[in-house]
Amino acid sequence: LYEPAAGLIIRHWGGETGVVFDASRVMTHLLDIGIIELLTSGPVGGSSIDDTTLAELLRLGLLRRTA
Amino acid sequence: MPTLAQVGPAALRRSLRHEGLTLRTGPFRARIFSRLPEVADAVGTLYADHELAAHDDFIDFEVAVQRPAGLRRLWRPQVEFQFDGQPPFNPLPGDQGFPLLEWGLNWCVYGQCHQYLILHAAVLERGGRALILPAPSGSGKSTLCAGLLFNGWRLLSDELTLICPQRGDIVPNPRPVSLKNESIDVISGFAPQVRFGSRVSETTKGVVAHFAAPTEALRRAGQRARPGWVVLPRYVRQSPAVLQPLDRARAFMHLVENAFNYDIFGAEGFELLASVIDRSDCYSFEYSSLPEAVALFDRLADQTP
Repeated sequence: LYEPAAGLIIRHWGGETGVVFDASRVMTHLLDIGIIELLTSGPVGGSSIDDTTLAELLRLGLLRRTA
Repeated sequence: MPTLAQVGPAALRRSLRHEGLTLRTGPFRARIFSRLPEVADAVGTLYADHELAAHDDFIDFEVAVQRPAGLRRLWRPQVEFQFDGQPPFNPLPGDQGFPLLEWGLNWCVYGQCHQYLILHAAVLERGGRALILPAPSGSGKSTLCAGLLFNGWRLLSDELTLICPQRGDIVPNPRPVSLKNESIDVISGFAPQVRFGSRVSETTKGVVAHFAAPTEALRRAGQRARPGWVVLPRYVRQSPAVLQPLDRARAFMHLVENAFNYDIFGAEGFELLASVIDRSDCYSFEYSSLPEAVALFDRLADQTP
């Protein structure tokens, strides 16, 4: 299982996309609303995420393995 | 304090040559030195209605536009911008003194004034709400801004949007409006009353000309505006004026991309821009006809409660 990395600030306004501020890297990401909802829903894994998306979120440092 | 027009041209030139001309521009005070007559003439015309600051006031920027030393001044004169006595840029051809002063003052603001989050965006006000137009050069932003300010919108800035981190509102910084190339003739036709300063050709941006900020904008330079609209303008040849709702997160990213000092603010900058988006209607906008564009923005302002 994975969980959102520490220090993420997530905002969306009900559109097709949302934004995430990663305080640890001082980076801002524009993400599809589906991924925004994933990041705000708690632990991620199994059928809740496909391999490509998981790899991308790990690469961006937005997810980490749960302890 | 008196305005520059009340001082007279002789005193203006004397100040520029000796103790420095101390001008108020929005929330800033700039002390300007120059021995160049064309710079004095342009400052006298284009800053005529700006207030002077007292000579012992706090000064945000001390700048000069002068001829650099060296033999080159004899056969191909140049002009150099100085900030605190140091030239941050390479010199430019000798007739570009006033545009260089304006570009230099912009550089001072976006490079030094991190008490504000600063966007590369024109900004105007109507009914207390700010219309923010973030866009790169060549998008038609300045033309649209100039058209709107001749049609009931108050100029806050044609180039730099200052956002107050404490209150999240927009701080006016009205200064001469810069236009380039075809935009100069477009605005001359749209607003025949406009009085441009000298046209300066062969700058890095092409032909550049300025006109003075409207007196009303200067008189109300202390009145901030709350964010109201974020509109991404784009000039598209032969396009009708089309305003389309823009996904707010995408609009947010455009603000980030057009911010000079977002990275300095960190999480505070993220929250501040998010609060701008919270309070704004967001659109993309394409146009080719300025009168059509201005009429559309009139309707937009009238429809918004």
